[in-house]
Amino acid sequence: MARKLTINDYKTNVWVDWCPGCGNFGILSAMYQAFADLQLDPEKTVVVSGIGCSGKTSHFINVSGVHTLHGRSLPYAEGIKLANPDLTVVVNVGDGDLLGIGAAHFVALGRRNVDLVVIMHNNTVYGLTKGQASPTLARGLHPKALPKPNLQDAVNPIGLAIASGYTFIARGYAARVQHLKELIKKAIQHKGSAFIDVLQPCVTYDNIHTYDYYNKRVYDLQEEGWDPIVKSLEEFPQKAAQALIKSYEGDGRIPIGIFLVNPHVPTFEERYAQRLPNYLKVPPAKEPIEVDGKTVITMRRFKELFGKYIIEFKQ
Amino acid sequence: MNELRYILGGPQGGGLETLSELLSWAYAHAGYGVISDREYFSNIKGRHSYIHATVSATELPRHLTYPVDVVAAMDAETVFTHFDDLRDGGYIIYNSDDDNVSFTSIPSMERDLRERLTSEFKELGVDGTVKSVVKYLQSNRKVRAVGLSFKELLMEIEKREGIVPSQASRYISTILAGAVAAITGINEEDLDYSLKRRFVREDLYRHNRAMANIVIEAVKGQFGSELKLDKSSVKVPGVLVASGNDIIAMAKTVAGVRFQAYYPITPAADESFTLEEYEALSGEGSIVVFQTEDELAAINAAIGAALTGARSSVATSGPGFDLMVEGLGWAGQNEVPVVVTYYQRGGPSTGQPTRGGQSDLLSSVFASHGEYPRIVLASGDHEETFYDAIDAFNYAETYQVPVIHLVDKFLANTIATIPLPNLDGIRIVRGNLAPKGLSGYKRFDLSSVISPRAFLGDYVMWYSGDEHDEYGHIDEDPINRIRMFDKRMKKLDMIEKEIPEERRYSYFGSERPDIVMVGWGFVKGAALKAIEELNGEGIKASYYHIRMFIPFPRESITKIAREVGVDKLVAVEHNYQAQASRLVAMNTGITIGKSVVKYTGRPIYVHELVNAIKNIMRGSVREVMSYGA
Amino acid sequence: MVNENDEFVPHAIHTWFGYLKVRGVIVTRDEGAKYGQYARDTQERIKNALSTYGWVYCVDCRKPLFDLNEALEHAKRGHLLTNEFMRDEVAAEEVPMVS
Repeated sequence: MARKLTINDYKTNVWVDWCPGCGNFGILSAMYQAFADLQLDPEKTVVVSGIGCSGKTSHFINVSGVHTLHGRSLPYAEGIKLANPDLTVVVNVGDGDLLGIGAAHFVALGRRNVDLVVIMHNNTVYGLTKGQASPTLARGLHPKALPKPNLQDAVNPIGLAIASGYTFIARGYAARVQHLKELIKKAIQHKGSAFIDVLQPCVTYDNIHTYDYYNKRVYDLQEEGWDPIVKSLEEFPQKAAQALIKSYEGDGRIPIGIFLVNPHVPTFEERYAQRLPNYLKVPPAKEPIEVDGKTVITMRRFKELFGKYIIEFKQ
Repeated sequence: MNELRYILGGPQGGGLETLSELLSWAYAHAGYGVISDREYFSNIKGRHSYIHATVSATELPRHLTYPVDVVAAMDAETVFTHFDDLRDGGYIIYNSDDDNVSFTSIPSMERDLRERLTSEFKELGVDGTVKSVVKYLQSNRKVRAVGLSFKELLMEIEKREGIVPSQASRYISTILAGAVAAITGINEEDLDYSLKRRFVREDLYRHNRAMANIVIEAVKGQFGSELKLDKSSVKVPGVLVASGNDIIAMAKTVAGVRFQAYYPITPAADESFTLEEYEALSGEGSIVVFQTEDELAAINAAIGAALTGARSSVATSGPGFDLMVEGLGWAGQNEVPVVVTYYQRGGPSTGQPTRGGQSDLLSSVFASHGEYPRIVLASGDHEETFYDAIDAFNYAETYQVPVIHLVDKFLANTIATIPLPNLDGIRIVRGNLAPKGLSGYKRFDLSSVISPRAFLGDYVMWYSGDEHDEYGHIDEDPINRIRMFDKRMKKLDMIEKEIPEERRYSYFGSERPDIVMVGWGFVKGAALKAIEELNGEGIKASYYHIRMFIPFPRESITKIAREVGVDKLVAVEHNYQAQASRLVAMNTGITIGKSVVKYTGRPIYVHELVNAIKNIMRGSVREVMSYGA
Repeated sequence: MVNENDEFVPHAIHTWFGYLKVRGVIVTRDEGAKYGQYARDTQERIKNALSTYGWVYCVDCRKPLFDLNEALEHAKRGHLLTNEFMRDEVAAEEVPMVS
């Protein structure tokens, strides 16, 4: 493919049916720009999405898209990536999808460090089902769409990501598209599980966390000199603790940027490669299993493999 | 005229709900019967949405049909989508500012429809603008066109009264409400009632009252009230005007439900929201309405609550039910009374989240590995639903089994006038409860099929998903296994014996039918009306309405099949496989070879059902219906 | 009473009308368009919007635009561009649950 791809090449003709003004427009814009900057091959790139407004993202990007079940994007994404590690896999999920019904899978992915990117569209509500509190809405808050104030506390996504083992942890904001674009690029280039919590105003159901609200509060960690990189395994607990404390910052300040990067953890693919010498060279998706309709496990190979089960009789 | 049918259409989020309420409450207040269905996309703002209603002066209607008398359009997309739904001589109310909008310039219209319209407009010789469609309707179908300039009206109100900007779309709703009120001759008093009900704020009421007045004057002046309904002859002391979701929530409070766990899913969660609104029962009680992180948590939390003696339920739809299947098995194994209110939507998988269907019957009857007793009932209309919801809990506690109450999106989202329920006739049956003062309590006491049930907190007891002994401890002994398994499965024999056949079905129509429709759920409304219309054409039809699937109405269907002949039976269902007819075959050996089905996600309408039945009588064995946007 | 610095924000669904923030009145879109967010200093403002928000919304076409040239094209055709819409308290009540 000789021609350079532009952001227009990454758009589909599907009508973007998010509410006018939705924070998702910004996230989509950042994805288009990041994909174009990195010149991702559309055929080798897969966007996996869940259920919710963010779930529609895969239909708006002209790369392969897998619009999965509620809370299950990560297992789908892991299946895709582990069967063919040559694919670039980016997951777009909502906060409810990822940290409510999908929380078990979120934690499990952190333990594996599979090389993919998880972008969480964090709008504090379950938009498509009429605006119920999601796992990231703080207790006591009462967005107008809710009948009563929220009874449940918010989970700390950055903290949960740290404890689960994500090796690239960042936060972005839908109305700071340049900054978000760079985060997405770095996340894609990072080797391991990358998590980006993206603040996404919901213009229909959340009258609290508006663009104005975030504009007044977000600030760039890196601009304030925050160094997210873990220099050695020994340094990890201290760096992790600092990042955790930072993630609880209050006083009307919301840090965006990269919280933590840990390059010292082998990816899940690398761990498989330790036991499966051929895994990265010829992944499962590419494995030849037949020649002219005949199995590659010939009788000779079968006897070699399963010798200990076999008794052969002399005729 | 004694029946009025209308379509109200507009972009989602644009004021359709307000418009629909203004009209339905006005008609209901005037004593008319109303049924009002909402069709919408899985989208928050912008896509096309419409209300399809039947208003009757002679009955509380349960049916929807085409063509309609009025199409009231908030936008151009509505005109293009529904112009063909109008009868000759009907009314189209629309925004004349949209005259030059072409159907090709509507981003929210799906490609499929646009392509169909391209060929249709070509055939009709229409250039595809709103103006040309309206003109076509006027000249070819004698339709009356009520074109109102929304811009002028809005600016007029801004000048005269002012507009509350954050409530701006209300005023658009009122434009159309006024126009429909004018041509259908809604009384001043009835319209004012619904305006006051909807616009509690004084300024909003005043503004919208003024808007309605302007529109009514203009429209009445030009068109009169030709579609005014006859005075209502519906004689009921009172009605509930509510959606299926609301009705079930109300029924649950009456049934004594005090714990409901749910995860938001269309079209079930509105029930939980209504329940939550009344959770404190005006200060006299508590219903814990628990929003969980997923459906796995919901079913298991509900089961936990049931173990303590609280009447407990979940409300969900297909994708959610699938996640609850494991929990259901635990409830069956542990003889827990828990009710699953199952609202069916288009499947499989994510399917059609905002559309209806009846394709989860087999799933409800068979779901969960292993074998255990359950009861499955299904409701045909809002009135049935109220009483069925209460029965569900009585059955659950009497037999100590999970109960699945099947309803659907059609019921959930249609608002209907139903007679005020009779609460005097309702019994709350708690089943075999363990007495106080026992020692060595055995939850799974084998001396009776239904063991005396104590609650957590009364005695020490155990539960386990594993096969267990009478105390609830794990027990792998083969003889115990047989005894425990038999104990549970024998409940099905008791259920079979004790729940009368008449409770499991209803039969409507001719005793000597030419054709018998066999259906369940929302089919009922269309089928009953179809019988009337077919009768008018000399065809004697009847409708066999299945109300319970476990226990199955084996005897009655067998009798009917024998008396009229199997070839006179036709399955009518909102699913592909005619699932209920498969259960008929499984339970009785009778194969219903003919089917009339609809699986587009829209409800079966009377006119297409009548047509399909006539085709069946002419020799067709399968009719697939597809009317409706 | 015309204020040159007035700002017009359209209704998100009924895009044929909107709100003038300074005058505090509802006006038709035809009247308000000249006070639209991108009616003046179009190129500069669009550039800014694209580098912060990453999009501008074309009210006529009902879609977000992500590219400067495309946005200028729409502006040249007289389409109304905006990032902001009228505050709407009604939508949350009007929209059913849809998933």
